[in-house]
Amino acid sequence: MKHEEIKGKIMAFMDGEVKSDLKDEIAQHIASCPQCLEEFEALSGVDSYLKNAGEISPPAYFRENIVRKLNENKERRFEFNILKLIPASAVLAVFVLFASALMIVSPYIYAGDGQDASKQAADSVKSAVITCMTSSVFAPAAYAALCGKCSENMCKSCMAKDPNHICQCGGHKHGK
Amino acid sequence: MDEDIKLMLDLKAGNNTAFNLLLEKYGKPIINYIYRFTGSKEDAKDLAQDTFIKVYNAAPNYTASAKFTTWLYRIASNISIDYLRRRKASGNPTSLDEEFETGDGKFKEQIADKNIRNALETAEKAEKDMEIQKALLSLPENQRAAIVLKIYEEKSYAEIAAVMGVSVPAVESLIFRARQALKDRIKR
Repeated sequence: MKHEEIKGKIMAFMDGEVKSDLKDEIAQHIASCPQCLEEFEALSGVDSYLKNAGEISPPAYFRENIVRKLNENKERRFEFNILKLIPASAVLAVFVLFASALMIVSPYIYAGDGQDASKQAADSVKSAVITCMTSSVFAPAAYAALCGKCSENMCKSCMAKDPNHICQCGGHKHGK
Repeated sequence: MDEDIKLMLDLKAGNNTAFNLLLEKYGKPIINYIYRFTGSKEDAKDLAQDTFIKVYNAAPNYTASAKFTTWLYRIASNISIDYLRRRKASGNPTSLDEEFETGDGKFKEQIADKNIRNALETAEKAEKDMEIQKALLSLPENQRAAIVLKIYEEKSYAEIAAVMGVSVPAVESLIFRARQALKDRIKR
């Protein structure tokens, strides 16, 4: 190999990146060529300079800190997964149920409004209706049981407004 | 099979002892690699933790497609690059730890200690380290990564290329330019 070619391979030679059959030839050339020797020594000097740097050791509790962080991440991921377990459809179903209950009972709320004389009865109806509505979402069985109670209160309210009122539902006997 | 790959496959199978062994073997090299790359001793420790957390979390999907160390150093490199970008964005691109920057204070305290000779040696060593670290930080990121992997981690050009995602001739060129720049710096 020519001088220029070898000069270009000095760094690869230093780094052990030349083919084994070229190593001897390059080594011999460096030993006999002042220019290549100078380049070799300059590059080796850089490596020696860098290798003088001290090392740092892992801090105390390095492993423990990693394990702690991993556990924290696991907990966070678990919480997130719990939230993911509540499907959007379940949230939507609860909303629809609540809205339906509101639609069903809202006429009773307005029907309950009346004159001063019937205010107490109207309040009683409203209270029962709201209880019914809430129960419809959180305790459907209790809601079903309250159904008759709503009618009874409704009739009481109507009778309080007008004692001669004949309730269309036929429940006028409640007011008496 | 490569011992490290076997440890990763053990970890994948749920054996946490394998993770401890990997930590024991590569904890120090990774901290030092990140330190040389970023110039911050303190942050290097945190970033090394993040590297191993990534390794642990990636274990369930691990496939032995490359050498373990190539994969490990690639993770450490990416974490370091992200860190350097964040630091750059915050207006503090390449700063050495305060421990170095305010050298006098710390070293004076040590010199005042009973064991003056040891304190002086420590101070000289720390100053030398600071000088070397400054020289490394003067290099562009890719040259720095390549020369650190070569000199301190003793990786082959092929392995450095795999870690950095570049070709072998590109690695040779990066290392050459880094050495030339450092050679000029040392001469001054």
